[in-house]
Formats: sequence, C-alpha cells, structure tokens
Amino acid sequence: MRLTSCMVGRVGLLLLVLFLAGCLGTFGQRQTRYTSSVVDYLYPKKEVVVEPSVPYLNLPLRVGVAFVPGSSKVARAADLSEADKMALMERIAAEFRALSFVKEIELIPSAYLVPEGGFTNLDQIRTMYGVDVIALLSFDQVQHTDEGLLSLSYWTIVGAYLVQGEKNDTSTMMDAAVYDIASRKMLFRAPGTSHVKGSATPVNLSEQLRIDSAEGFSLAADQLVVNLKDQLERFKEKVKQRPEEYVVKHRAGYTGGGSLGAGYALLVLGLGGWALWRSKQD
Amino acid sequence: MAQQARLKFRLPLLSCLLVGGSLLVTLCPFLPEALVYDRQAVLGGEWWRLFTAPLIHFSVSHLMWNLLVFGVAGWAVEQAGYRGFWLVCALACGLPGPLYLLAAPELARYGGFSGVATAAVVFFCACSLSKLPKNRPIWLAILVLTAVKIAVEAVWGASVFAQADSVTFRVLPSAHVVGYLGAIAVAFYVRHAQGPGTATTHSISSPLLPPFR
Repeated sequence: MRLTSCMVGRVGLLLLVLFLAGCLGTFGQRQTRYTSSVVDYLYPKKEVVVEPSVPYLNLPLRVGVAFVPGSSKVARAADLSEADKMALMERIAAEFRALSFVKEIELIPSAYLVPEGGFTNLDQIRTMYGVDVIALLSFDQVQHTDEGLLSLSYWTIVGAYLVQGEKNDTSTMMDAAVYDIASRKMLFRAPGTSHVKGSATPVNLSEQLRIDSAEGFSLAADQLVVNLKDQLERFKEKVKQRPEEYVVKHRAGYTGGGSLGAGYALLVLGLGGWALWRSKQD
Repeated sequence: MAQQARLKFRLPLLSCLLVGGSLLVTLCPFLPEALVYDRQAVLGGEWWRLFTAPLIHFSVSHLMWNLLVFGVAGWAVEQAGYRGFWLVCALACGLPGPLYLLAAPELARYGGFSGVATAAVVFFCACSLSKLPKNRPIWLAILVLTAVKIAVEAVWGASVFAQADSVTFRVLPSAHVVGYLGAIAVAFYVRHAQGPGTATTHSISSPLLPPFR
C-alpha cells in the first residue's frame, strides 16, 4: 500500500512537472517582428548597382511621403493599418510643410508602392504625383512576451483573467530616408526609436500587444519628428556648404517679383503723353 | 516770378537716385545676391534685404519696364513739386519685405521695383486730380486702370501685361497693392495737410511739361 501510494505520488509529481513544462511551452517567451526595409525596397536585386548622381533641387520642392512596403515574406497582417500609416505620415508631412522651400506635400498610399519596386516604382510615383523628393518611412518593431512570477496565479483559472502576469516588451525603430528620385541620391535620414514595456493577462494579451505596438510607433514617430527637424537644418547648411554636391535651382513661381510689363508701361506712358499733348494745346 | 519758377528745371534727385541705384546694383555682379529678399538669409540676420529687394531685378525686361515707368512717373512728380514723394517711395520700398516675411512663408525670394513704380504713377495721378484738373479724366483713367490691373492679377494670380513666358518668377500683386494704397494715403494726407488753398501753388516747373494751373 505504502509502495502504491508512493508510486501514485511520484506519478502525480511527474504529471505536474510535465504539465508545468507544457504550460511553459505554451506561455513561454514569444517574439513577434514587424518590419519593412528601405534597402529591400530600393535594391531588391543585390547585383544591380544604382549609381547616384548630383541632385538638382528645383525649389520649391514637391515632397512625397510614403511607407515602404514590407517584404512579401512578411505576413501582411503584421503591418500597420493604412489609417495608422496616414496618421503617421501626416505628422511627418507637417514638418516639411513648415519649410519655406517646400511647396507641396503628397501623402502616398501604400497601394502605390510595390514590394521590391525599387527606383522604377519611385519613378512611377514621381510621374503620377509630380514629386521630386520622397521621404520613405520604414520601421522595425519587435515585441517580446515573457511570463513573470505572477503567472503562477494562472493555476487558479481566475488568475488568467485578472492577474497581469504577461510582460510585454516592444522595441520600435522608425526611419525616414529622404531621396531625390531623379538622381537616386539619399539627401538625409532621420531615425526615431522607442521602447514600451507593458503587462497583460493572458486573455487580453493580443489586445495589449496591439496597444503597445501603436504606442511604440507613436513614440518612435515623436522622436523621428524631432530628429527630422534637426536633420533638415543640417541639410540646409550642407547644401550651402557643398554647392558641388547639391545644385539648387529656383523653379518659376517660387521667386516673386513686382513686374509691370510692357503693356502697362506703354499704356500709362501713352495716357501721360496724351495729357501732355492736351495741355500743350492750350 | 511764377513764370521763372515754371521754367526752372528741377533735378529729380530721388528718381535719379533710385533708378541709378537699381542700375548700379544690376551691373554689379555680387550685389543682387547680397541685396535680394531671401527669406532664409533675412531670418539669418541679414535684415537689410527686406528694404533693398525692390532694387533687384530678375531679367532685363523686368528691369527695363519697371524703371521706365518709375523714371517717367518719378520725374513728373518731382517736376510738379508734389510733396511727400520720398514718403511714398519709402513706404513702397519698405513695407512689402516685412509683410512677406510675416505673411508669405512660401516666398523665398522677392525683388522688383514695380511696387514703387506703381506708387509713383498713382501718386502723380492722385495729386494731379486736384492740381491739374484739366486732364482729370486721364488721371482717373490711369488710377482705375491700375486698380483693375492689380485686382485681376490678384484674382488670376498672374501678370496681366507681362507675358507669362517672359516672366521667370511669380508676379506679386501684393507689392502693387502696397504701392497703390501707400501712394493714395500719402496724397490724401499731403492734400489735407496743405489745405485747399495751396492746391494750385505747385505748378509744373519743367519746360517739358506745360504750366498746369
């Protein structure tokens, strides 16, 4: 009997260990990665070398802002929604709008950017939208989920609904690379990073991950905007200091001037001459 | 005495100074870039560009027609002895730059004398309405024509008389509006400051212009 009960105890312990191991396998560390890469988009074929030339910046610039599409291997469901992308692009666009040498900003929907489209795709966008320069936004977001000590409370079933034992860690990097499309030259880039830590119950884990993801993008965009301002100022100085690298031209309509024209001059002078002639008649 | 005064030739100093200055700036290779209204440079501390921009022109025809109109109108004003012309020129030269800095962030460069030329034409006609009444319909016609031209430019966003393909910049009707209104305001002020009794005291003193009285 004692042997039997001892056996039962050991078997029970073994089952418990196996169950715990199973649970750890189920709830153990998980990682999700959302990513899109400018390099993958612009240079899909590694053997093709695109040689940049001297950019001719026709002021005022027409600037496009677009999110680089993710690689086709990455699940599309992991991407940002189009509404989120447009909201983020609008924030980036606001920085460009404040610049006196920028005339128009076009927010380009993701549907117009083909995965691995390269500069051929950018040329199409240039034709369609009439933009000279494009800010390509890419991102890399990694989310880790771990169980903390509080996850032991999941054994009570109720704990799985009430106790936030899932520890989420969301690291986001956003990058804006500004290219002159015609010359294929990158003018400047600005990064933005964020790190969001959170916790959740197993039941609302996916919802919390989405919230953390959105917050991560938002915080990274905040930092990107700050860096973008700085990079724009540096770029303006760089253009002035290195005229051999960046040719700046002023487009018609950008420079304003007071002009009367020959027609007005002749009309006014004609009327004045007539007045003079009339007076001489007296 | 009056006859002597009429025959005495007055050197149009202000007109010569502005026309000569504009020509000199155009001929000097480095001056246009140093004096043109450049928003970034102004924000960087080069404030004088706000006031020197009217002296800068972007093409030969731009320079020629602006200076021709201003030269003739300015000469007529100074020969007629209309007071306040310096104030008209100061307003037309000095106001557009600060206005564009405050209200037109998209405008990077600005230059041109047409605002001052418009002001000179309008000032001469406005003053002549009372002082040279014989040709009042002509002065009125010029004033109305100029106002209509500016209004059409403002609505269309393009120059009425300057050919589109000959203009390499955007024509700014606001410079003309400032010149027009400034000239009218100064003419009104001078007329009221002098009083109605002095309306005929400023006769045209050049032998090239008849004695309007």
